[in-house]
Amino acid sequence: MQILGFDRADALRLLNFLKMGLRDRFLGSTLGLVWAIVNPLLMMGIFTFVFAFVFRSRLPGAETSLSFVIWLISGYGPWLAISDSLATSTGAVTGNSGLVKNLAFKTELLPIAGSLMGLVPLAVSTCYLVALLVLSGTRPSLSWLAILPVLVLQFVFITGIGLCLAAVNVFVRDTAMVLPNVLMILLFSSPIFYPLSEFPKVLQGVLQFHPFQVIAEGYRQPLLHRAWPAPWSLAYLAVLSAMAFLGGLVFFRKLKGYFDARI
Amino acid sequence: MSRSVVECRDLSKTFVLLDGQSIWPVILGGHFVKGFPAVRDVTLQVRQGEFLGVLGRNGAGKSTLLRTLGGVYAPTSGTVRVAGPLSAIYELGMAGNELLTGQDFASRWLALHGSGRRQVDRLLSEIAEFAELGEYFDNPIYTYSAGMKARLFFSVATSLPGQIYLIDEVLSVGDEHFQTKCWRRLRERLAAGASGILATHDWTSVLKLCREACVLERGRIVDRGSSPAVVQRYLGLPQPRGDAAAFAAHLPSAYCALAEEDTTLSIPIDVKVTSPVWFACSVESFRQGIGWSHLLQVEPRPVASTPGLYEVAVTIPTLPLSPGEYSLNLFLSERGAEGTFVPLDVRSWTYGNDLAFAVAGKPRESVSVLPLRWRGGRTQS
Repeated sequence: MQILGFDRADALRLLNFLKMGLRDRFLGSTLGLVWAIVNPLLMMGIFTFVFAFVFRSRLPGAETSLSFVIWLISGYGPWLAISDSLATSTGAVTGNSGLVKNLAFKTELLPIAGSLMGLVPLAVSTCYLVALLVLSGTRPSLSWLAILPVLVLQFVFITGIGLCLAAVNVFVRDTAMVLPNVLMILLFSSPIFYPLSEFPKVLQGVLQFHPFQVIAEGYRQPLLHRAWPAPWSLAYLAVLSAMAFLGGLVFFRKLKGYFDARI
Repeated sequence: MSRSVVECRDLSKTFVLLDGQSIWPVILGGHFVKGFPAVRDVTLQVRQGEFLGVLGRNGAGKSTLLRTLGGVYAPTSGTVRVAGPLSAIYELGMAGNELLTGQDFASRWLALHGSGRRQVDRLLSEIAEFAELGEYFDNPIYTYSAGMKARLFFSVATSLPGQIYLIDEVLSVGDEHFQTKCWRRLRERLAAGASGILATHDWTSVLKLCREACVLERGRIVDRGSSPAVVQRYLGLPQPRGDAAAFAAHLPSAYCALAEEDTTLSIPIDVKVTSPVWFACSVESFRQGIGWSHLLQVEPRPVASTPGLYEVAVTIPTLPLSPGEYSLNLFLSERGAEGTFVPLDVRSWTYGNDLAFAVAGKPRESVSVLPLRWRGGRTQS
């Protein structure tokens, strides 16, 4: 059975690469995989401290800083996953040159596995968020499961971009180097640290279609407001993700025949 | 006619060096980039149970050919057909994190090559034992010496009982003791019906393992045929003329003798010229994984100088060879410039036409038996 040119053996191999990737990232350290949890937790703990106790930020019309922190983390958690996915998948082919040169397999699986590694910070941030929500008195609700379609679409979208970047990075190694800066720009141009309403009116109209805004709202609506994300936003994200994934896959497959001389 | 297990037709592989500028025309559909043709129009066929030798100098394209056959590289043109899963040893590389322990490396390698959990557990102890790493098996690889890394890699790469092998140079690693183990393992696989391709510059391995061979030069196959014939041409050994003098047509293809007995070998020669013809012979033995050893030798001596049929009798008193199979090599030559010998006719393993020499008797551990004579007696006291 083949989906988009992948069969069962490829799925198993993908799982293997995922396990390898997680293992290798923390190999040699004493705490090992525990760092996969501690790193994002530490980051979010720092933000919580800074925004709740130092800046004492509030959402427009809100009473406590805790609601702001919850709002922030609900946008920042997915962002952490996105930037982790993109950074890992961009270097997935160039960093695994030994495998590419000695094993016969579909090279696309490497960036896909790299992208899926973002699931770990996402899981950690979601648990942290749930803990904060419970702390602020919100009852857990079934509507929280509405983040699942958004989660899936987010990964499909990011994997598509990751495939593109991974292929380009083989020929233009600067890609991996400029990526952290680009991500930083994107972070501060997205409504993650400040709500959409704080942006100039001119930009608001455009920015509400920004994929990261749509993704962030997809998490905020179910978790903070117990509502399903707006249907148009889900449809928009679905179309965007499909296009990005298929485009990225085709792009990668076109270029992968030329990797041999550059790896 | 047994089926073919590896087959390729007009296979070509060109490496195209793209950089930032030149990827865009390629993405947009054009293919106007020059490349380096590593493999050109290669057609091969390997049958079940056989190993094909691919000889070539460095840079001839052997590794590229093997990787293209194995699916690591996609061919630029031509077809490849492989009848089953491959076991490929491409390079002696520890492709992986050096922080992994030997055991982790083995599990990871096996998992990447499709082994399930249970098979991995079963093979791990075999691998540890074969590689002779002892407690180092649980230590990170960065603590290993180069030899240990090579042994670990070889042990892991040959642990899966495969049927079709693609071997790039790495036939055996380590010291002589370990090399013997490697060869033994390969022979076990062969006995179980393994086939494959051995790409190497080491022609002695090809002579031992492969019945057929071919020569790759700058990406093209320039010669193919039976291994001894191909190797002889590959080495550029001067072909003996055979018209001035030759071994008679009724020369036996095998000789027998008894160990420790006086032996006479009768060798018929046919001389056609009036110049002196010299005769030399040697008895050699090939040991798997070690190579050819010269055991007995007769220096060249003149035997005839007029045309006719002769019988050269080589007498060896108390044949000092242990029972076994040996290779008898015969050389007919004439004197050339400055005391060299120009071969007229040769029967030698280097040409693939040596004679079998079977020695019978009580089996012994040693290769030769020294003709001792001793006598007991009292010393003067």
